Parts: sequence; C-alpha cells; structure tokens
Amino acid sequence: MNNASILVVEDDPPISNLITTTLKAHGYRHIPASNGETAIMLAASNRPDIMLLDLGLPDCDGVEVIKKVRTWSEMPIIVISARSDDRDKIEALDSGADDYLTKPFSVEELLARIRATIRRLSSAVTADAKFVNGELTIDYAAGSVFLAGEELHLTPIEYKLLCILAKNVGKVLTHTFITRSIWESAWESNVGSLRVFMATLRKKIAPLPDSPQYIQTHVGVGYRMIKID
Amino acid sequence: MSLSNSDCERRCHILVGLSAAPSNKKIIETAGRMASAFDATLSALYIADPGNNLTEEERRRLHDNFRLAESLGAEVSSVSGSDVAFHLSEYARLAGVTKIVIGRSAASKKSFFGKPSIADRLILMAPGTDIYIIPDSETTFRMHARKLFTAPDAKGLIKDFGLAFGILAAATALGYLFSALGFSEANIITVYILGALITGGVTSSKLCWVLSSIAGVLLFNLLFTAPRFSLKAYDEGYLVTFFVMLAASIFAGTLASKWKTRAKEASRRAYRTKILFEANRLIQNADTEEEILLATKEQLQKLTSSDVTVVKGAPPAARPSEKLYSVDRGGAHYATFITDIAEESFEDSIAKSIVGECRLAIDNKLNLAEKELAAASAKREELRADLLRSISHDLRTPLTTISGNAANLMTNENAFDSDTRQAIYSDIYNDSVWLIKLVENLLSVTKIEDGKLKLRLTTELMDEVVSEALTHVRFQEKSSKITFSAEEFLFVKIDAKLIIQVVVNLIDNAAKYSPQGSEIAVSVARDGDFAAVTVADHGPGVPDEIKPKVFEKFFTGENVPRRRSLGLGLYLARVIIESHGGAIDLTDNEPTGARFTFRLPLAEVNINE
Repeated sequence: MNNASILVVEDDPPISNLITTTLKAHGYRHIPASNGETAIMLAASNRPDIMLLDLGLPDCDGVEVIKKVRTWSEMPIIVISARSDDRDKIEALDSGADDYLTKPFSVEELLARIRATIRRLSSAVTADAKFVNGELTIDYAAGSVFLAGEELHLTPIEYKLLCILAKNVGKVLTHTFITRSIWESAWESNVGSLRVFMATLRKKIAPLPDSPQYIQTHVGVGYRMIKID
Repeated sequence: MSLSNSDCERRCHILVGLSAAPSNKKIIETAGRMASAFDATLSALYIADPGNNLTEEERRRLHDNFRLAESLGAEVSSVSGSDVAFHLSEYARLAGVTKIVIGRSAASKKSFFGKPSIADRLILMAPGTDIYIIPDSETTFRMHARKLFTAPDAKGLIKDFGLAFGILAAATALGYLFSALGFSEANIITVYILGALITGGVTSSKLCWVLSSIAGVLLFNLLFTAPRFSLKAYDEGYLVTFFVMLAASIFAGTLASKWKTRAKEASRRAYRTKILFEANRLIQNADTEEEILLATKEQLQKLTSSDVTVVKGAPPAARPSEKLYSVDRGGAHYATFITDIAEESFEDSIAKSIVGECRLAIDNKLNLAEKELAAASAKREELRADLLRSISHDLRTPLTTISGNAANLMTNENAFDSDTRQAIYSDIYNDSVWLIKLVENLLSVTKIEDGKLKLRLTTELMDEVVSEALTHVRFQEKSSKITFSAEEFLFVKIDAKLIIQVVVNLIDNAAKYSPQGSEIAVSVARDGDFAAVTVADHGPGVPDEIKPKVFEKFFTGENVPRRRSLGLGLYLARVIIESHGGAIDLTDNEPTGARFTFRLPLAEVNINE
C-alpha cells in the first residue's frame, strides 16, 4: 500500500514543499491544501487515506478541521504542531486526531509515522471477538489475554487498560481519555494511578528487555499501542 | 449660650453624643447641619455603659446612628463608661471641641441618686464649651424604668434571686443567733446591711438587690422588733431605724454593684489589651501576607469570641449585624475582615488598631516583595543581554554556512562531484540540527528566567521520561552507541519537557566530547529519597580544576573535537534541576570519561483501584 494518497494541509510553502518532496521520493501520492476550507473539500471529494494537518492555518484552527472531518470519516489524521505547548496536541487528540508531530521534526520521523499508520490501516481493526497484535492476543469473549500462547494474569484494571489501547491501536490516547474511560473521572490522583497500572501492564506484556514494546509513552500527552507485524 | 463669632475664630469643632435612642437621629442631623453652617469639624462620641445591655433593636438603631454620623463626615469614636457628662467633657477638652450637641432627654437625665443633670454637670466640667440642647420626645421616666429593671436574661435573674434569697436566709439565721445570745438589735441591722452589700457584689440585677434590701428591712421588722411576727412596730423610733436601714442597704448595694462592674470591665480591658499586644507580636513575626491576614483574623476572633471571615479583594456588602474592617492598599481594597463587632463597643477601637497594624505589616511585606521583584527583573535583563550578545555571534556562523552552501548548490550544482555534494549536504544538515538544538535550549531559558512561566509539574515515571528523551536523541545522535538501563516505578513531580531537555543536553554534551562510536551509558536508579539519572561517557573526562566551572553560563571546553558550543547546555541543566529542588554533579568515569548525575526528589502517588 505504498501508493497511499496523503492529503497535506500546510500553509507554509517551504514546509509544504519539504513534505511533498519527501512523500514523492518515497512513492506516496499526495494532495496539497493550503487552508482549512480547501482541506475539508479535498478530504470529502478525494477520499485520501491519511491527512497530515498543520494546526495553525490561515482561515481556521486545525482542531475545527478535525472535528468537521470526523463527522463523516475515520481517516487517520496526523497533526503537525509548531506550538511546543502540550495542550494543543491534547486538544487535537481529544478531538479525534490519531497522532502528532512537533516542528521541527526530522524527515525520518515523519516517514516512520506514516508507515505506522499505513500498517494499521492495512490490518484494519474489526469488531472481532479476538484481537491479535504480534504475539499478543486478547480474547474479548473469554476476557483473557495471551502472550506467545501463554495466558497472562492481569488485574481487572490492567485488562480494561489493555482493551482500551487495543481498540484504538495506532492512536495516541490522552491521559484524560484513558482515565475517563476507566474511572469515569480525570483527577490528578487517577493520572498517577494510570502511570502505575500502565507500567505494570507493560512489564507483563513485554517481560524481556528485547521484547517488542507494544505500548509507547508520550510524556505529558498519553499512550499508544503500536501495531506490530 | 449665644454664639459669638469669636468662638469660631479658630476652626469650630462640634461634638455630638450618640445613643441608641430613637430621637438620637434627629440630634445627629441637627449637629450635621450646624457643622456645615459653621464649616466645622464634626465628631461623634458614643459612651457605652458596660452595665447596660442593649436589646437587638437598640443595637440596630445604634448601628444606623453610627452610619448616619459617618455619612455626615463625623469622626466617630466610642468609649466605655457610665458617666456620660464626664466622658463628653473629657473628650471635648482633649479634642478641642468648641460645641457639644446633646438631646434634651439625655441632658436632663439624672443619675440614680439625684445628682445634677448631665447638662448641669457638663457646664461645670467643660466651662469653655457651648452646649446645645436639642428638644426630643424621649421621656426620662422610661429610661430610668428600663435601666432599673433590665436583667441580663431570665436564667441570670433566677440565679440572682436564688443568691439574694440565700444571703437573706443566712442573715436572718445569724440574726436569730445574735438575738438568742442577747446581742442588741444594732448588730442584727448590721448583719442585714452586710447581706445587702454582698448581694450587690454577687448579683448583676439592680432589681434584685433593691428588692432584697426592702425584704431585709421587712424581715427585720417582722422577726426582731416587738411585736414579733407582725409588721407593726410599737416604738415610734423604729420607723427612723427602718428608713435608715433601707437607705444604708441600698447604698451599700449600689457601691458593691458598681465595684463589681468596674472589676469586670477592668479585667475585660486587660484581656483586650493583651490581645492587642499579642496581635502586634504575631503580625510582626508573620512571614507572608497570608500569615499576616491569618494572625489578624485569629486575634479578631479571640477579641469577639465569634467567627471572623476574611475576604480578599473587593469587600462584600455588609449586613446590618456585621461590621467590616478593610485593609486598603494604594487606593484599592486588599482584604476585608467581616466581624459581628457592635459599633459602639470598646472592641471596635481595639479591632481598628489590630487591622491598622495588619495594614502596615502587609504594606511593608508587599513593598519588600516589589523591591525584590525589581531586583530579579534587573538580573533577568542582564542575562538576556548576555544571551543576545552571545547568540548573535553564534547564530551567524551556521546560518552563513547553510545559506552559502545552498547558494553554491543552486548556481553550480553540476560543478561538484558527488562526494563534494554529499559533504555539502551533510554540513547543511548538521548546522541546521545544531540550530534546532539551540532554539530548544533558548526556549527553556526563557521559560526558566522569565519568572512568569512557572514549572508545569506533573507526576511522571523517571524511566519513561528518560526513554522519551532517548527517542529524541536517537534520531540525531548516530555517532555514539547509547545504552539505557532503568529501575522502575520511580515517581517524580517534574516539568517533563524541561527534564527531557536536561537529558538531551547531557547526552549531547557526552557525544560532543567522546570519540566516534564509543558508548554512552544512561541509567536511572533510586538513591534514598531521590531518583538519580546518570549519563556516563568514555571521552577524555573533565580535569578537576575545570569541574566547578562546567555548569556556569557560556562556559565551553577548550578541546571540542567536532562541534561548536554555546555553553548553554550544562548551565541550563543545572538551572532546571535546581528549580525542581534537585542537584546535579560531575564525577569521573572508569577508566576514563565523565559521569553527570542529577537527582530529583521522589514524589508520593495515591493509587485508586
């Protein structure tokens, strides 16, 4: 699926050139858009596979674009933010963005994000009774988890956490989103608890130092389960 | 009492007496009109009689009268005492009052034993002062009647009567004993008078000791004069005896009662004075504005023995039963204390001095804080200037190479062979990466030095933060082999962005001084109540004489093998770690190289299942 089409929403010409040149060099198809209105129009008419979205657009806030697109499409949206403030990213993620990049980003980082997203798309998550990712298997019906065929013993909260991550594989989930899903509130003490349970869960599903890291931490933002081939 | 102009040659000062009487409003208004007519200073004085408890309605009326006097521009004060004339004249003498305005009812009010009226006594005591008596409708009779028969409360009254009854019974028993022993009647009379004296001392109701005096005379008549057990007396001389005995009893009672009220008042005064001194001491010792407000609030609570609320900023509207004391600063309300202190009371003046003390202390504290702020801001400015000077030079170099190289490629790309082109590309890349790092560090500098942007502290796991920092580095740092080992579950309360910056800077520093391809070991471990992060390299290490300098601003090593340096990275690392309450140090690595370790205090975390 290397010929995936990517909608690049970026108003700054040099950055837009950098991204489109990179995409061209790696064989992706790209559609450029320089403002929010065009982006929404092109997203609706061309049905791209992925959207790369700059949050600071001349005509509207990027978050508005995410909200509009999300009313009809689940296409992956990777946000590009020049603002180093985490709150923008968290707002974008909570509005439905899947991932984010902060300027200045390296070309390799951009390509890595795109590859991960495509990998997730090609093994589209379905409402199966089972979830399989690498050596990790979740049997939703039985409520049990297996790693390389061996059953893991998870506490109820660890299991709940794993299911939330699995159902949103590839997406960065914010702390607020996860704590709300588990405790129905987002107090600071719950965020602390979340760290602890996430750390124990992670230890259980990646027992060895060289085990694949299924769960990625985004400090100050949240967590993500990575799709492993 | 005519007013001549010579009286007002110096500025007129009018004093008006305040009271809870309904007619007092009219008197205050009259005084106000006089004050404006004479262009005079207006003062209002309330004399609180400690032996006289006000009813709720009277309190409210008094409150209104205070407000009215204030609205007319009067300087309102209150004193405690029972002798109205004395206090009015004393105040008039001390404050240089030229005219006193009182109501007719108050002026003609006589004290219990028919001493001259207040007006008469005022004329005697304040000879140089004009006295204006304003007619009002109040009758003196009601005043007397109410004063005599007001008891503190029903329970107190019952207790008082119980005590009076007991003392009478004891006096009667002693009388019987004297009578049986054949002592003369004069002894028995003395016993009854002594009883009246004690009753006046131990009870607070006037009614009580007046009745008990009368009862004493009647009992004496009934039990000890012939014929016994009858109110008749054969001897005409007894009538005089009864009358003298009654007068002596009541007089003794009055004296004892007055002595008691004085003693009570004196102890209350002593207590309040103690509170005032204590408030003074506590406020002086307080370290912050909050503590000053708290100390003031506590002392006011002690003073009033009821709750006091303190509100910062604009004061709320006062309810009738409340009295507000504001602490103003620079024309704006800083804080307001809400109390239930009555306007008339002696507490009011104590509260005013306590709040005044509080205002002074807060003023001092804030002035000091402003000075410190100004000094800090000057220091920041200095640093900013330093930084700008240093940056403008260091920015020019990479920008020159980037733009120059790009220009070369644009104009004569084909003139270069592939190896040269590759070298140019990598120069452009390295210089721009260097600029990116510089910008990140500069952002951190502004965050720390600006003073406005505080640390955004969140609870994080130390190993997660360090491994996040490593993902940043690994994209750029390909010349060294970075290893990572970590102890888990070390929670720290940090600004994650800044700590990541510290780790990036330490690794960057290590890579800068170590040979190509050598190992940089990053580790996270627990060290007592701290999380310790170490970055160890195998470079040449840092000579001992330079070690203390490496964390200084704009310090750069002499032998930087591959890259230029701004001398900001380690300085920033130190500033960031210290602002988190941690410490950073530098030791030697084995066999060669440097070990940078920073320690951050561990945080406690509550876990919800």
